[in-house]
Amino acid sequence: MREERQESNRKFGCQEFDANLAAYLEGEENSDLRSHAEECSACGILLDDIEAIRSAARELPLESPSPRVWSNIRATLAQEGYIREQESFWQRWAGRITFGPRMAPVAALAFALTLAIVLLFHGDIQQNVNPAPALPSVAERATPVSLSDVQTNLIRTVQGMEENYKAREASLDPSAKQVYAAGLASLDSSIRECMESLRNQPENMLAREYLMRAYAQKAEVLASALEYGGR
Amino acid sequence: MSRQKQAASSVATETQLIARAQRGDEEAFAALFEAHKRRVYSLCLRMIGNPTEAEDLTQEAFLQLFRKISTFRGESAFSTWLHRLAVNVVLMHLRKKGLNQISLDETENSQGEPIKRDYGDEDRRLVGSIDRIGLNRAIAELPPGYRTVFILHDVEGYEHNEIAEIMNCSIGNSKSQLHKARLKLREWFKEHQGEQPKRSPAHAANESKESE
Repeated sequence: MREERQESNRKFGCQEFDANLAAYLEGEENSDLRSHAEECSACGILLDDIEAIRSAARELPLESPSPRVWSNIRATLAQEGYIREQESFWQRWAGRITFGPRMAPVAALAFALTLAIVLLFHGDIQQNVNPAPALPSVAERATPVSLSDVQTNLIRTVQGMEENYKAREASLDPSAKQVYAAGLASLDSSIRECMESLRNQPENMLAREYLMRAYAQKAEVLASALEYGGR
Repeated sequence: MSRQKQAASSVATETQLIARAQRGDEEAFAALFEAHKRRVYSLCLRMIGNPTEAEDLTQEAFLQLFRKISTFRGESAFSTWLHRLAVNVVLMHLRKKGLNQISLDETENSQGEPIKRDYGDEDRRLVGSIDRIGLNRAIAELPPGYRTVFILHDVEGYEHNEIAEIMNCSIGNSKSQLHKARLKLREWFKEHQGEQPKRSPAHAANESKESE
């Protein structure tokens, strides 16, 4: 048996091994090649090495792109009209809470506030106001994102509203509180994402616009929550 | 929940997301991006080797996909469609950059130095010394044609017939390029055996991003 194997190996040398290795690695059965790899140290090591490389390649971990990729995709899709005009936060959530007739003035107040904020923000972009020092708090406290005075004031206003809301949150009806909390968490998540994009690309105007929109929506929600809590 | 049920539920969710994205729902677009971004970006990064360019190509692949999503009828898996599209975006980018070597035409087989085989001095196995940083570096240093076939086959799991179709070459040629790529990688590890792992700028940037 051993003699037969040695005879076979004499016919199947390193050159034959090299010539047949690719096909063997593709799954072609070749007992001569396997026997040769067992007998010949150099060829056995080559086969083990290639199998180790194949195995390591299959286990390479996946990497994640930075948030700017999604920000840019979203902005482009919106610009090209592939994304349907998004409903405001209020439109999406209003149907979930039953309000009495006294809520009409609240909605009007929220609308007026949002309009004022959006107008302020648009004026700010068009006039390219000189940037103010970084805002030291809000969603990304450690992030030095450069904002204009008007933008900083808007964010501070929203922060003030949020503090008032926190103080009154306990008095809210639990189901309403849950709805507001979910909405605010979603907006905070958008704010963090925009801040992250701005930190990586301070000149990204679309991220800045989305950031301000998120704050405008947050102001809208907080205004309604404060009015609802104060009934 | 069993694995089969989970898989069925995941497909159902993706089908719903695609239907919503076809109606222009932003959240559905975001969810589809979230589900597939890592695989697409990793493919681009490994084929290009530059994180910024890889992000640009990831963006381009998803944009092309989302623009055409209304035409998706579900005949093939959504992920297959997306990854094929991403590969084409990367190959197009490489061709635009003038990297003619990515052609796998047999007559253009100029993928660098011939691969050495030293029969007398191979007493150390690589097993245990192939770490992911080293492998990423070695892949990045492969000639573009070898790199493309190796990534598509050994990393991404494409079959040779699919690679032949994507690369517009014969199946035999794809097999031959893959084998040479593996030998090149082995040669790289032999040359760098015993070295402390070094990070290429591309992968160092990504690893620092991962650790954030």
